[in-house]
Amino acid sequence: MIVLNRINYHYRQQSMQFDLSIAKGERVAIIGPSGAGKSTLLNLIAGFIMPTSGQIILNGLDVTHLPPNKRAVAMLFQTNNLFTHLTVYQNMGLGIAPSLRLSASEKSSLFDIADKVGLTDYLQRYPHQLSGGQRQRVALARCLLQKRPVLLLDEPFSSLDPLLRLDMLSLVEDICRTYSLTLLMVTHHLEEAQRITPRTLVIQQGEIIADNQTDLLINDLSHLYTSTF
Amino acid sequence: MAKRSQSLSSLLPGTLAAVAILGLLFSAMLSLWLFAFDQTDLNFIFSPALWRILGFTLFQAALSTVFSVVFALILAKAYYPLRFYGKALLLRLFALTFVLPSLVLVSSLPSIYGRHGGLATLCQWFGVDYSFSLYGIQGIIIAHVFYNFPFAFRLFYQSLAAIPLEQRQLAAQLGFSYWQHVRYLEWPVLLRQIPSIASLIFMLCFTSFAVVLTLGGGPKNTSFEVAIFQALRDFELDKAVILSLVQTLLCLLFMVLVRRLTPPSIMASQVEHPNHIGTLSTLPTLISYIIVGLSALFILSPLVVIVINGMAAFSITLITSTLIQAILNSLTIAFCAATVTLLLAISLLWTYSRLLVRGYRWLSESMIMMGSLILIIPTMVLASGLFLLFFTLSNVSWFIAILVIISNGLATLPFALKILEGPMETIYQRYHCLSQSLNITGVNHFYWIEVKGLKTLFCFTFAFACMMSMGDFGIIALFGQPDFATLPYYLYQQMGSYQQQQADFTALLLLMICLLLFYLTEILMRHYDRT
Repeated sequence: MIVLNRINYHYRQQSMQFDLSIAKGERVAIIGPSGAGKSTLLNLIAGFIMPTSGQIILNGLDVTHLPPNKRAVAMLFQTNNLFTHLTVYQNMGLGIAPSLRLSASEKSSLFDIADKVGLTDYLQRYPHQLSGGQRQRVALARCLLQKRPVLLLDEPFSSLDPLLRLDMLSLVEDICRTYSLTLLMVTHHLEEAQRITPRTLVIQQGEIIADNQTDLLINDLSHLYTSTF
Repeated sequence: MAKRSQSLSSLLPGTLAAVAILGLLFSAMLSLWLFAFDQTDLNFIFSPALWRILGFTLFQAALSTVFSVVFALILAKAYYPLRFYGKALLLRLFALTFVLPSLVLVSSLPSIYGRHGGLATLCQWFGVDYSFSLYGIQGIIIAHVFYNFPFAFRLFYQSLAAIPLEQRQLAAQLGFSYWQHVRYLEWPVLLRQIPSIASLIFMLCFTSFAVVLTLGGGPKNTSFEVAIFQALRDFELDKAVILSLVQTLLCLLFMVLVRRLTPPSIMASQVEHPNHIGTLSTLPTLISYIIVGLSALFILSPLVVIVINGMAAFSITLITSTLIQAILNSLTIAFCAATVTLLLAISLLWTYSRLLVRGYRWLSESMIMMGSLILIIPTMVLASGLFLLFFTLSNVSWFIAILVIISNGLATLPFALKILEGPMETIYQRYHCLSQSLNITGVNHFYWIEVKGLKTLFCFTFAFACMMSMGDFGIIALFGQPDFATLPYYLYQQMGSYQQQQADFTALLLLMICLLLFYLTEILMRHYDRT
C-alpha cells in the first residue's frame, strides 16, 4: 500500500533516509524524539515536501512527483485542521468538493458521517463554538469524506486531555476497521501505540532504527525512552 | 500541468496589478518629460528659486517633525501613569485627527489662532498683546503638529504599555526614582521608536500639499508639492519636471531610510496592566494632568470650532444644487477610488503571500514596493502626465473624475497594504497544507479562505480608503472646475472667496461624512477583533 523506496531528503543541515513498506489495512505508529523526522516522513508521503531522491509508491502508483491532492492520502495536522471562519458543515463539505457545490448523494453521505462521529447537532456551528475533541472529530470526518485509503495522523490529539485522547483513538480505530483504512500515526505516547497500532516504527536522527510489532518493541522501547530521549 | 496552472493563478493577479501601476506611472512620467522637452530651460536647476523651495520644504518639515516628536514624547510620558475617567475615550479621540480633512482643519484655525480668534480674545482679557499671524511657517507647523503629534503619541504610548509588568515590579523593588525609572526602563524603549517615527513624519510633512498651499501665506513659503502644483497650473512643464524629479529622489531616500530605521514591530500587549504599581507624587501628577489637558485642548478645539461654526452658519439657502452635486461627486469618487485600492491591494498581496511561502523573499517584497511607488512619485505628476497624454479629453468631466479616482486609489494603496499585508499572509500560511490537500485553489481559495475569513477586514479597508479619498484635496486643486467640483474643492473655493459662513457649513458637512465613515471603520474593527 505504502512503499518508500530509498527515500533521501536533505534540508539545511539535516539528511534523512527512509525505506519502508506498509500493507493495506495496517495500522502503524511512529515514535521518536522531537526533531527526529517523524513529521517529515508524513509530509513526504502526503506530498507537502519533495524527496531529494527515491520513490514513493501509494496503492501501486508512483506518486513521487504528484501534488498532495492527487495522492491517495488524507492527513490530520497538529494544528490548523479547520477553517475557523467556516461552519462545521462547510469544513466537512470542502473534503468533498473545493467549490462546496454538493450533489444530493454527497450531502447525504456528509450527514451519514456527521452522524457516525456524533456531530449531527453541530453542523451549523463554528469551530470556536466547539470543544477541542469535537473539533478533531470534524477534521476526522472531513478526512473520511475525502475517501482516501490512507490516513496520516500527525499528533492531532496531543492537545486533548488523556481521557478524551483515548476516546478519539477508539474512534480512529473503529473508523479504520469499518472503512479498511491504512493508518500511519505519529505519537508521543507508547500506550496509544499499544492500544490501536499493532506495528510501530522508531525514528531517530532521520532514520528508522526499529520496526517491529508494538508488543515486542514495548520493552526495549520503554528502556530506550528512559535512556536516550 | 496542475502545478503550472496553480503557479499561474498565484502569480497572475499581483503581476497584472504591478504592470498596471508601473504602466500608469511610467507613461505619465514619460508624457510629462516629452512635453517638457520642448521648452526645457535647465537654468532652473541652478536658479536660487529651486534652492529656496528646497530650503523651505526641508526647514518646515524638520521643525514640524521635531515639535511633533517632542510633544508626543512628553504627552506619552504624562499620559501613561495617569488613571482617570475617560482615559481610553480620550485616546480614541486623538485618533480623530486622522479623519479630519486638511482643508477642514485649516478652515477652523483662524477662529482659534487668528487675530480675532479664541486665543486673541483670551490674551485681551489678560491684557497681553497678541500679534500672532497664522499665515507663514507658524501656521504650517501648527497644522502639521496637529496631524502628526497624536499619531506619534499613540505609538510611543503603546511602547510604554508594552514594557513588561515584571520590569516595573523589579524597578519598584530596587527603589528607582522617577528619573531612574525614565532612564533605565522607558527611555530605551522610546528611543528605539524615534528614528522610524521621525523619518515617517518628516516624509509626510515634506510632501504636504493642502496645508502649505492654504497656510503658506505667500510665494516665498512654497514647498515642493505646492511648487509643482503652481508650475503645472501655469503650464511651466519643465519646471514641474525638474521639481518632481528632485522630490522623487529625495522621497526615495526617505523611504529607504524609513524602512531601514523601522524596528521589528513590538508585539504590544495593548491591554493595560490593571494593577499598575507605583503611583506618582502630587507635583508630577499635577503637571501630567496639565500636559494632558493642554494637549486635549489643542486637539479637540478645532473639532469643537468646526461643529459650532458650522451649526451657527447653517441656513437652508446654503443647500444649493452645486453643493449637492459636489457631495455626490465626492461620494462617487471615494467609492470608486476605494474599489481601485482594494482590488490592487488584494491582487498584490495574493501574489505576495504565495511568493513568500515559497521562499522568494525578494520577489514578494517587490510586490509591496510596487504598491508603495506612489509615495515617491507625486500624485500631481501622475495626474498631469495622464492629463497631457489624453489632452483631447481634458475638458470632459468624466475624464477628470477618472484621473482623480486613479490618483486617489493609488494614494491610499500604501495604507491598504499596511492593513492587509499581515492578515493575508497569515491566513494563506495557516491553511497552506490544508488547502493543498483539499485541492482548494484559485477562485475557490479566494472565496472560501480570503473572502470568508477576512471579509470584515476588507470592508474596514474599503471604508478607510473611502474616508481618505473623501477628504483629499490634491490633484482636484489642479483639475477642479466650476462644473466639476468635489466637496473639498468646493470648500477651497469658498475659503478663497471669503465666503466664511458658507465655508463653515461645508466644512462641517465634510467632517460629518468623514466621521460617519470613521465610525463605520471602528465598528468593523471591533467586529474583526471579536472573530
